[in-house]
Amino acid sequence: MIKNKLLISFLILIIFACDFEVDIVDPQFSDESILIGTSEIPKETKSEIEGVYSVISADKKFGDELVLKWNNGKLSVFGSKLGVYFILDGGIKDSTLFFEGIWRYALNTETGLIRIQSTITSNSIKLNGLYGDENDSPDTELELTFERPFSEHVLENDYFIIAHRGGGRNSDYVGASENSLEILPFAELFGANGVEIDIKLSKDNIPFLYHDETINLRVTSDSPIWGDIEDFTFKQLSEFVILKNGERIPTLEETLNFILDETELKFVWLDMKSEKNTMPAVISIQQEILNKANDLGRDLEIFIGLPSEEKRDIFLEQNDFENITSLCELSIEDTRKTNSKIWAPRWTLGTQSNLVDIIHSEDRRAFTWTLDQADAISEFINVSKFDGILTNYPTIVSYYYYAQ
Amino acid sequence: MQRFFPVYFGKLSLYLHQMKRHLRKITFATIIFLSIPLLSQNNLIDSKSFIYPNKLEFGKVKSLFSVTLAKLPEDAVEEVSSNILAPLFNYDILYGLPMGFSGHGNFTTNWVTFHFALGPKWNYRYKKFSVSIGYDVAYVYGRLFNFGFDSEIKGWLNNPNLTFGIAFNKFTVSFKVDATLTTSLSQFNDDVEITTDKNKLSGIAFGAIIEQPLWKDNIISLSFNGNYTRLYYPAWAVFPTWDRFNFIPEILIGIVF
Repeated sequence: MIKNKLLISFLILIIFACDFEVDIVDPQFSDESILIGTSEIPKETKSEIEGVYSVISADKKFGDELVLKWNNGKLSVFGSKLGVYFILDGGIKDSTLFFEGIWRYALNTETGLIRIQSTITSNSIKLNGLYGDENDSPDTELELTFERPFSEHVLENDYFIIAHRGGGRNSDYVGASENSLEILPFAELFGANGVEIDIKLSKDNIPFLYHDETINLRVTSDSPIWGDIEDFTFKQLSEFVILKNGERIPTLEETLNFILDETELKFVWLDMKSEKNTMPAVISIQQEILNKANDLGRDLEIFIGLPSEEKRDIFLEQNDFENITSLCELSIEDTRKTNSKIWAPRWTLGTQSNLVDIIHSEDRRAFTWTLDQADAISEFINVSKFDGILTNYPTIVSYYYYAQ
Repeated sequence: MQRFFPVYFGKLSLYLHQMKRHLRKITFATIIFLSIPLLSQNNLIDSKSFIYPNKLEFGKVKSLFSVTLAKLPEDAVEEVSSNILAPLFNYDILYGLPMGFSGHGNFTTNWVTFHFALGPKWNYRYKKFSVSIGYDVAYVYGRLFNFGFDSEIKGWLNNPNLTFGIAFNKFTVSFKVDATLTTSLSQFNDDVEITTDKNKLSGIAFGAIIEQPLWKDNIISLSFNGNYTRLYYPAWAVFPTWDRFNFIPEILIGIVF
């Protein structure tokens, strides 16, 4: 009897210690690329094919409608069904456009390969191609027909699609670790024009990117050190801690320089996650990068997030805080007190149109976070008066925004 | 506090560090569990057990009060992954009906979410083996108006279930499997409504249940459940929107009276 119970207890220990690994496939073509021998697609042709397309495929795998948008040199395709997206490389040869890449559902891990091509005529744009599951050669037919260009409202409006943790959480398996340099280009490919990143402060006062309080297996893949991450110097963290997909932890300064030099992102939300007083060190880097951006004529905004009353009070102690760009997640009164240019309430409080009107009348903007539900994204884009959405699924926000 | 280990011990040391909190809880539960037989006096418990399928005499009532603890998936709760979800308090009742049938009722709450279920169960016994087939219809209501939420959830779930039991001299062991079908589920965040797909299989749960005397005629019920589910309704306010199945282990301890 006792033996049986010991066995049962041991089984409980095993079950409760388990976390099931998610099986992820990184699909690769096994044959020669169709882009060999093609040349770069001219800018005018690129903008011609951007727009909203209807979809014909036997199994409705990608829904009825898709949005095509160029981002950072690649063609991104966004849909509403499970947050489907394609990331495609393109080329042109003899007036035929060729594209190849991957498709993926953002809301689960289904993915596969896709190849499409198009000959643009004066009357219409049609893309025909094949797609497959995982590493299978594409063999199911797909046809996209151009329906309309992006609306004037979309083209004229300055809407912010902000990718959480630099592009997505580790649990979304986007191909790079959250809060790494490597994830930032993904944010752009997913349609984001801004990112939110989490800021901690090392023992030697260097702000760096990391979300959790401790070094753990959710965020890191290997580490000979453990404990509170802020107890270590940045040199120790850089040498010993490897992020989930093999990257190193970046400093805030190198991240902002990367955003400035290597991306077209125009908005950064610094989420002050540290238990320490990070403000002086972060403000100094923020000002330095903003000056650099100004010198380069680059359109980049960097906002210090104020998520709690404690952070608000520390911010209010800073010299000249009224002129430091900040984003307040608290009440409208707090937003005024800190002279934050952005008010950012949680989306679960609803669309709050009256309050957003008040904020707009004070020449401030309103963003909401962290909104991942497709129904709610559609509602916030089509009905609410918010100026931007922070999300784990920028592909879904991109679809609803560009399909307006 | 920081500690250094050789690099090649990295992953193992991190695992052990994260397991430490579980080990404490499991050791405590094991000590309690092993000491239960010292208090028990009754060897014939199969007719008094709750989960082990029994024909209940017409008009007779049996109740189970239990507490459930669940470990949410690390992907869903991230940093607080080692924290067990706030306990769920359950009250289950069986009412004897003719021809081997019984009526089952359930009320479950964690203060934020309320779950009411009702359904028939048919029981059949052959020697020490016993089986029951049941079907519960449940209404779920949840509300959270603090911590930046202005949210409510309402919906209907269906739970077909099958239980197989074996009676030993001093205890019974039962194995239960049930499916959760979401008939309708809507979440309201102030003026924004989110509707979950209707008529969808949202999860399957497997459970192993031991029932044995605690003291005198009182039976203790201990369940180990593995949920494989898209949506774990008690954690609706924090559960991610992704469309994939998550493994959520539960431990349930209760008293039959």
